[in-house]
Amino acid sequence: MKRITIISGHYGSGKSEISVNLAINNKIDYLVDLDIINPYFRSRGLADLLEEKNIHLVESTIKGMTGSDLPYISGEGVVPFVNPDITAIYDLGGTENGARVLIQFLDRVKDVNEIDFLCSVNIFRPETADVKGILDTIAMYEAETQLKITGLINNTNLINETEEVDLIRGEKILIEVGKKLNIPIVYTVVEETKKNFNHKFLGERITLIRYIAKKYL
Amino acid sequence: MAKVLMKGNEAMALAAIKAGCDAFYGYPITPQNELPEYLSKHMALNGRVFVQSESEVAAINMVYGAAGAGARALTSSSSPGIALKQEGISYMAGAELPGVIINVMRGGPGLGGIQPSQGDYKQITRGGGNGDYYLYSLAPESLQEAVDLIKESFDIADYFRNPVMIAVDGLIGQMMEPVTFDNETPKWELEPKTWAADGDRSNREKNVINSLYLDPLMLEKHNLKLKAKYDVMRDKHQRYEMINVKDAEIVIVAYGSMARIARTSIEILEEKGIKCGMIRPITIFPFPDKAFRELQDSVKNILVVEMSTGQMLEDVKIANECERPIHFYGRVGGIVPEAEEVVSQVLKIIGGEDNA
Amino acid sequence: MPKSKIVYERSEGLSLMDNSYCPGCTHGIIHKLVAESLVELELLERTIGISSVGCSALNYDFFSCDMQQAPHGRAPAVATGIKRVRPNSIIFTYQGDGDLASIGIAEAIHAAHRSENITIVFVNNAIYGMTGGQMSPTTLLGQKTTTSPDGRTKAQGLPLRIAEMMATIPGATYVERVSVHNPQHVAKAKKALKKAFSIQKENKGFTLIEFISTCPVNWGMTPKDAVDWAVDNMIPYYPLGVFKDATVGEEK
Repeated sequence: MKRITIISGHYGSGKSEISVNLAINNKIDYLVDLDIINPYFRSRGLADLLEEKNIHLVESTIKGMTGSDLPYISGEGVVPFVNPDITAIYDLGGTENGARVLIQFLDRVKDVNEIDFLCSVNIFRPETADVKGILDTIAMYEAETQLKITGLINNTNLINETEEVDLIRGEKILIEVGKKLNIPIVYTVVEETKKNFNHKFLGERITLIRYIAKKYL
Repeated sequence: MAKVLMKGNEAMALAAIKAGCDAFYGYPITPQNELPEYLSKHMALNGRVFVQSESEVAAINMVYGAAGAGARALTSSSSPGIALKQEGISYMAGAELPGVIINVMRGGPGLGGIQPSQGDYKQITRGGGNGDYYLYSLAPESLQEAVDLIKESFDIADYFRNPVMIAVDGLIGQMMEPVTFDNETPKWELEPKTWAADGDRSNREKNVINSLYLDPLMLEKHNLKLKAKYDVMRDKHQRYEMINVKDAEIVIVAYGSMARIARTSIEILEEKGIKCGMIRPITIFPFPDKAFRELQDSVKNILVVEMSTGQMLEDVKIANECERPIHFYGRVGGIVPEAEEVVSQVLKIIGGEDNA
Repeated sequence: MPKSKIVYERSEGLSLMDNSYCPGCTHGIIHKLVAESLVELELLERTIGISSVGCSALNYDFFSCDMQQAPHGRAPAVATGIKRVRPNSIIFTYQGDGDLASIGIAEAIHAAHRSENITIVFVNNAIYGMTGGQMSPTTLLGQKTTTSPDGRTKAQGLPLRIAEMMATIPGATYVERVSVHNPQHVAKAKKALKKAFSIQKENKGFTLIEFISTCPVNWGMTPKDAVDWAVDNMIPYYPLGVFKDATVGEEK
């Protein structure tokens, strides 16, 4: 895992849940929530849990106001880019509109080799259902952020209705994408409730605990 | 098309396209922005109309215009924006024009907050604007139900020549859920819109879209004609779901997201050996009072649960006709009650700690 | 029997219903000009007119084309809604100064801003006629109304020049102010309307024709004095002419 991981993707590609899981599992220093797209279901809603886990949460300049849709980005978001001792995960908002936020920190990036810029893909999203859709999406994110996507996350899911074959199908499509762009599948996400999926998936397996979405959802 | 994973606002937008919506007119407001954003791209791809208007007031008047010209028109907003649309909605009802309005409710009053709420219940179920009228109002509890109802809603609006309100809260707008757009929805017998002022007079006399009546007797006649329409809705088109009510000792009444949460509460209570059922209104106008006639004698108490301070409560009281004690539990401010909160309320009632 | 020929007849753009306007009011003339323009340009059959709120609210009965009555000030929004779904239709709104310049100013500006292919017929008589002679945004300084009983002062706002204002909007294609106080100006006004409808027919964008009008009843004048007052007081403040013509040059 590189010092900094930035996670982009469409709505429902699992960015926030993956960010929180990765941060907790890997004892990351900073979780930077740059989501100005979603008004609900953001990692900033987990301030208490993250504090308990010793993860520093960077969110809006008005902290703890989960009822706010004011798009204030905290300047503190730049800290991991300039301090080489800090590990961080950046959780972007959905779509290219969410990814665009990153640009304002880019002039402070010292070494792009320290950054993994991942695209989380769920093939059950209509826009990323096939190779072409995913390539178009990645091209759009790269154009918006002026950063190259360095890896893929296979987060193919239909929430509770996900089956193992779905993830395998997602993997096949992502392998094609990876070949075209010469990038790896870095993670495959399997929900905790689907632990029995035995297939050996590419990349590291994230056994996902849903921290943000409540069980009635 | 198999199932896809979509955000509620997007799914509702696509459902409108599938329903043959010709035009969308709207103004940004959280938490429904993904709906116009989705349509700004996909209406054009489907050869339809998308206009971002200067205000909610303008948006609903554009819908009024398009509907008058015979098109299937949609607008969406969230609570404060819906309040602004009441002028045009009233005109639509008065001029007997169809149209669909999606309200992704947030907390109020005033600017309130952006978190989910059911605080617009009374505005929605009492017409909302000036004058004597109602909206056929549907309150889905899941994205799938929202998709299916929106697909049908344009037919319902055309059938009654009356606006239809889709009443969801921010939770439904923002949540992700697998949905399919292939479900068959009920078909309504629709007549051609020979009344439309669509600027094509090659085969007919002029048409006028109007809600102004200078003669009180004529206006009264018009009001009674509208009333007859609402009576048909009340008599024949109430929709509701009875959940687990057989032999239940207590019945929850909840709609939309709140019903979804109450389902979990019912499961928890079942594990504790308590038989709890639910009446889930799908139409909030007409209010499904018929559901209350179906309750058995086993039901000793009714618990109304809402994300408001008790707006539907009054309709339940009317429908209950003083038959059973009615209790209430609600959270407001954008706070969504946990299933466990509802459970403990039920336990209190059964233990005699909560007097109706 | 003497041979007779028809020298004048009711425009087929008007219905057979007699209009309801007061003696000396210019609505009748302006209705006739709108109707004749649409007929002469062969647009009547595909025209939808938008009635607004004010004395002209009932004109859905007076025009022979399809009509839709709009809420106060919202006619340009209603027109937008229709035009976008029926792009082949010809749409005009008919609005007074209370309707357009006050409650409906946002809708008028934004219809121009989006360069909607619609024509606004704006009738400015510097007063709320229908509701009983209250002050409007175009009421002149010193003019007495039921809500400016001592005459308008600067504290109540300086009269808004709508044509000039609308001309500043980049999306507006054609804006002209006309008057109908004598036959010569009636002819000129009709020319302006025909120009506006022609621009709309060619999908060249937003057009607005402002008419200087009268209100003998609420001004408390005879019809003749009202016309004279408009000429002596309104036209100096609201000068006639073309304020914007984005089609100039492109026809060559």
